[in-house]
Amino acid sequence: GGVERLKAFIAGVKTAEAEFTQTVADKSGRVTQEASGKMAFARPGKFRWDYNAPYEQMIVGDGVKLWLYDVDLEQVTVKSLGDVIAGTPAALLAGDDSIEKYFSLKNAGQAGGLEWLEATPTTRDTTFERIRMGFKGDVLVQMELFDFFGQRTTLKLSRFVRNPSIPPSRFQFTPPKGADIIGE
Amino acid sequence: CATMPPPLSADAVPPLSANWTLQGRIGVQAGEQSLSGQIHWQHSVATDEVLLTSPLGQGVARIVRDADGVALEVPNQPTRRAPDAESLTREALGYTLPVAGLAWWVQARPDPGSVFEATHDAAGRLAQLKQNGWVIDYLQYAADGRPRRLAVAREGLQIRLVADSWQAE
Repeated sequence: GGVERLKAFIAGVKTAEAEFTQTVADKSGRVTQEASGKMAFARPGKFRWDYNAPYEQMIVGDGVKLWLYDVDLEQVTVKSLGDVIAGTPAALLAGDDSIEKYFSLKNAGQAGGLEWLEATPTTRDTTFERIRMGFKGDVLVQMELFDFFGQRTTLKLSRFVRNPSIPPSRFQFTPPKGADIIGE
Repeated sequence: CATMPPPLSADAVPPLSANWTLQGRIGVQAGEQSLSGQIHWQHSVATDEVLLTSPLGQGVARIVRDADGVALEVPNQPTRRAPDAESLTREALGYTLPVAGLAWWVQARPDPGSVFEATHDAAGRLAQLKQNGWVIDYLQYAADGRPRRLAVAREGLQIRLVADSWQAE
């Protein structure tokens, strides 16, 4: 089932690159945001989320800190990765087998040609109620994130490249000159 | 010094809407504290719903104003209430978010309820507004004449707002 696919994904896919689309729908199902970009990760704990449409935003987990840079806002927020990553999709994506420390996992059947699992955060202070992951073989194809306000985010991955060699600099972030840096 | 409302050239200012929805991004820096993410704001004369979400779309906080006052909902915490958003955010977050003022400022207009100072750019558009202790700088206008990027500041507090989309009914 989905849980076994996630374990195969963690064991077999140490680094990855893919394109993604992100759709956010509110509690009445109305789509309030559509964004897209590129993502990459290297287990454990290193990931990068580059939004290029409809605006430019970057999220980088360098293994120690989580950086969020919004080009329009000229603002970089930085947090230590330790507590932040616990209940996030990044933990599911780029985590290692410590995932079961942060999530309780259960199979959620088949749908849309994918094998699904459902992950519920075990830590209290997350912004997620639960996350669903859909696999084709041992490759992650779709994630659905449900929050506490009835919002639902659907992330679809495409052009998934398994175990590419990714230069370490890809997961390093240096704040651009002139941007405000907020946080630790 | 308070000035009388200056003549804003008609075409410089898009029509005032009573009911609108703004989708964009917001960054707030208050000393050590910070908040940044998406903002989805539905405004009508009687109600406001401001939903702040993380880049991945998860609700981080929701402020709802209606006839009974203002409520702040945060995941895994009891709802907090106050008569207005300003006192509510000051209690809950430790800094004031000028929600009432912002509802006017995002439309490139001063809050009609109090005095203000306004300066305009060469095109007759609002460049800076000073009101209720806040300084509002209009950094960029969108093609439709609406403000796209604003900086709202007062001593010890910096808010940046980018309006990505705007729907008025």
